[in-house]
Amino acid sequence: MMSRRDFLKKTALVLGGVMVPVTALEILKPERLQALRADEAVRWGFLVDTYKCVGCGFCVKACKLENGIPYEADVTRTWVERYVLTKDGAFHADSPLGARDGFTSPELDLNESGQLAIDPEQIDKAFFVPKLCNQCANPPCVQVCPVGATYQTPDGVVLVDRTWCIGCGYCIMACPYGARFFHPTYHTAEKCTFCYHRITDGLSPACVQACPFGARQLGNLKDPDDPVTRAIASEHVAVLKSEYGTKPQVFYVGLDWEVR
Amino acid sequence: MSGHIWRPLLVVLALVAVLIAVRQIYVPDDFGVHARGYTYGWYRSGSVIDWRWMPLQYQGKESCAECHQKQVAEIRDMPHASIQCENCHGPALDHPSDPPKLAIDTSRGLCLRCHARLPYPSSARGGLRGIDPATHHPDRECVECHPPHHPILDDVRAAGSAQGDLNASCRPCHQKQVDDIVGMPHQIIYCERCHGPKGDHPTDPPKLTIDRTRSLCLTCHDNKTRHNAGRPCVTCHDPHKSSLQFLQFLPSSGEASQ
Repeated sequence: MMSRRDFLKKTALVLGGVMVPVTALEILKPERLQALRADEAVRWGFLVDTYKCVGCGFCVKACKLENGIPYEADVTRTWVERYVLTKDGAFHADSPLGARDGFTSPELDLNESGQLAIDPEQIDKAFFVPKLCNQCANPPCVQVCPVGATYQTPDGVVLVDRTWCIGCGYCIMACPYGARFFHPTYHTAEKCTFCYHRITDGLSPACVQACPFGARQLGNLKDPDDPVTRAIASEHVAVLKSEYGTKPQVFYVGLDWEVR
Repeated sequence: MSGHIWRPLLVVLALVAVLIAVRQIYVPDDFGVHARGYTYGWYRSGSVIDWRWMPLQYQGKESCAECHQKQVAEIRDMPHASIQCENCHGPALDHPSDPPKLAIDTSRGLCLRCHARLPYPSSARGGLRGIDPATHHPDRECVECHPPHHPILDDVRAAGSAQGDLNASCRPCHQKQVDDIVGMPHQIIYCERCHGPKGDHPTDPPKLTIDRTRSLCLTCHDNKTRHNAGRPCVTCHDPHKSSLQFLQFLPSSGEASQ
């Protein structure tokens, strides 16, 4: 005759013993992993020409409206920075509201330090640099996610699963480019998706389409005939913070050494 | 083995079993390791589908051209041809069903994104036509004088028949009036600015309503608010003539023009 205590003990033991290998081995099966690593025909890459950018900010406006980022909130998936280098060797940078309304004043908006007027005679060079998520080949933001809410798609875009994100903010801290932020409505981590809903449908990202000067381009890096791939292969391009080993997939033409 | 080892061990095993059972129920079936391996590809694959199904807001110029061929053709050779319609007219979404009408941004701020002059020769911005927003008619909307689809005033001034281009649809019938204004200060103003919305004239409306009010002139000539206050400017000034030929109804108008 088995006592109740014995019965419960043995049931728990058997249940536990059965479930551990069944579920654990399911996610560890190596053949399934191998099959999923099949080569993709597409790897999205981005090319920014800083010579062409005039700082109009139409890209930022289009991005916010296309992707439902609250327009008045000071958060944005893409933004434009202005750099002004003066003859005394100093450099200044600003990006008021991420350049949502463009740059309409020669005075730099340095937030709490106020406005900075620079004598045009003292300007050595000045230029605009559009920024967005670099969709790194080795994304540090994905590595740090404790719950598997952010990931890289097979075609190389880093996305956030809004239903799975717990809002811990590790990814926001981990991104060396400051490309992530909290979405004010969803309260989850938010970032540029290269307009995944548009590019997988054969359209350009909203920012690329909105740019009147052709300063932004998206291309398939796996296609050697793609204009972006050819430009990256044949022109002088640079990436941001290459020393971090993140392998950014956003390439810049005319990137000045002052740009971080 | 004695009970003091088995008992905690069973508790641990039971907890593990509960954890795994909960995980089985709570975690979706499509959650797992995908193409980029454990480090980068540990996710719910349905999320990719979620992102692909995000609604489109910006439809692009090609989509506008399907119905608005005339406007797209009109801007084709203009400097603003490279600007997407939706940059100013707003994202189309499901237009014309939803919204049936787009809200056009005609604000000064929109134009200043490019045309506020910034002294940056090393940037493409330095090469754009620019104004100082603080001194160039600060309280006007740009579109009051600069039709955004035909923006170059210098070209209008340079070409003798440019007024015809600016108002190509008025010229075939109103040749004399269009010719009269060429070379005059007001040639940079398109006819509709004073003669009212054209609509489908001459069918509908058969006659346009001319705005002869003082307030229309004062939108630009705002330094004249006290000059013969209360009387319409057109009593003395012919808006189609130059500043020296304006005194149209005075007997000495010939002298005034010398």
